[in-house]
Amino acid sequence: MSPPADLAVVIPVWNDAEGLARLLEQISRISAISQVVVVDDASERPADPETMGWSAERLGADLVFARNAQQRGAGYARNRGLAKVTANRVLFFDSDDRFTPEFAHLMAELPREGFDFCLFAHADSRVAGAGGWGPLPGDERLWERAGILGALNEMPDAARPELIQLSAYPWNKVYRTDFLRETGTRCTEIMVHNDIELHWLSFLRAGHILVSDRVAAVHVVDQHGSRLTNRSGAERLEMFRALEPVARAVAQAGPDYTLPFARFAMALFHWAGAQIAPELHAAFATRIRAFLAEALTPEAFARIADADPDLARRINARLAWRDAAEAA
Amino acid sequence: MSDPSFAASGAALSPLATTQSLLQSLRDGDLSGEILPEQEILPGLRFVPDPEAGMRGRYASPAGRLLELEVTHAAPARWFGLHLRLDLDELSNLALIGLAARFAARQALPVRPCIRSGTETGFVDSFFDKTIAALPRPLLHLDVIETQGPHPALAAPAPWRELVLFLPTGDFRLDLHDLRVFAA
Repeated sequence: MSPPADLAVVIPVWNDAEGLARLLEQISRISAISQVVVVDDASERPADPETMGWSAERLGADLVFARNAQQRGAGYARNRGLAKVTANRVLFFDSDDRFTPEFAHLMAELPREGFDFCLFAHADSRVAGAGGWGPLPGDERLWERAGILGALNEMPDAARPELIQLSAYPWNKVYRTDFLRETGTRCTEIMVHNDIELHWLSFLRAGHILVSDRVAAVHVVDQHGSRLTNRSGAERLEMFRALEPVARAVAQAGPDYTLPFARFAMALFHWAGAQIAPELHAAFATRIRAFLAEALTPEAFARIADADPDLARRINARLAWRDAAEAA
Repeated sequence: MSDPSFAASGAALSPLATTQSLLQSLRDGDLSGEILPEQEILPGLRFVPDPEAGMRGRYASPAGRLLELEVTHAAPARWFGLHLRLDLDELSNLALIGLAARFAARQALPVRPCIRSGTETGFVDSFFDKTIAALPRPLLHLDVIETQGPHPALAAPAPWRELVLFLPTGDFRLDLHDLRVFAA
């Protein structure tokens, strides 16, 4: 007989009642899920599972619903949902993402305790749309470099500096709830990039990480939709509220994480630069310069220059940037 | 778990029904243990190492998957095979035998599949055209072998047949996520 279900799924939702309905339908067929916490981030039409016809009985899991009076972003919604979790394990999932059949197998094997979180593989809808099955190429390379193989194993210490650089999260980790609560690890309450802090500090604070190469979820991205990932406004500049505590933790964690964090941050700046509206580019470049100057000690920069001269060159270019007024 | 006993398998079953049942048992179960030469881990499934190579290894069968293998050899091996019994003794009404397999490995590893047909004096191996490449990114490998083609051993009745996957002969870690065998 299988042990009783013991997993909460926290779902922030914003103007996606249709996606939430699809996800709840799927959850109702997954016996490992014991609690569903939906936090509606002030959708124009409330996405309340009960008014959509869902009950705990139909779902096969406890159902908790909360609604933010005003839009606060997925980070706030996730933190609010986490506070309501009663299960020993928790997964943050998005309303438009999907589980694969591998998820049930993963949960059947995952222990209830004795670990801090379990990272599992995922497929990205853009890769699936092109006939593949896996994450975006950059994350795929990190998985390959980490040498992860097998349905469920301890994450080797050497794999941590690789996998901490993954760009896709947080729906690919099952956390031990008390790990998050005891370490105070949570999302940044900003409109975008809210999960950077959750991801990086989880890796840096966890003592015992499990990893699975099971593709247990599909991350669905609508590149032309209105979801927060596609935002291009000033809210993007709030990313530094997430990056600054991570930079401090990386500095304390030792040299193994200097280069991974520099690579991650520079890739994020590059990606976000393409998202941000042109009128914000100068403000963004100013914030990047200040962040790098604060985060990188001369010793850290020397390590980066030694290991990856091209990255060091690009960091230098960011540090040397001057806006029109400064240049004059 | 059902017992896919070949001795009890009925001739009335469709081709490969017993083989499919064996593979499904492996998918459904959560077996693990030491790899012992010639010893079946389920009826009809066994590893055959080179007896002079000092093979040591372990297998595990996680839920929904077939096998995770970790193997070392004390000396260079001439072969190391995973043997799967096929209930396909009579092929006269069949045109082809196919396999679909999904492997993964930390670095590229070759796996050579063949159909082994029993004879009065031993056996004959009929190799599929393509070698399977196990890669860090799990990929589906698909191949068929014609029973009336260039492999005379497949055209004749045989007292027994096996699918043999010739695995790497060095030290390796290799995962077989799934294997499907079909005949038509």
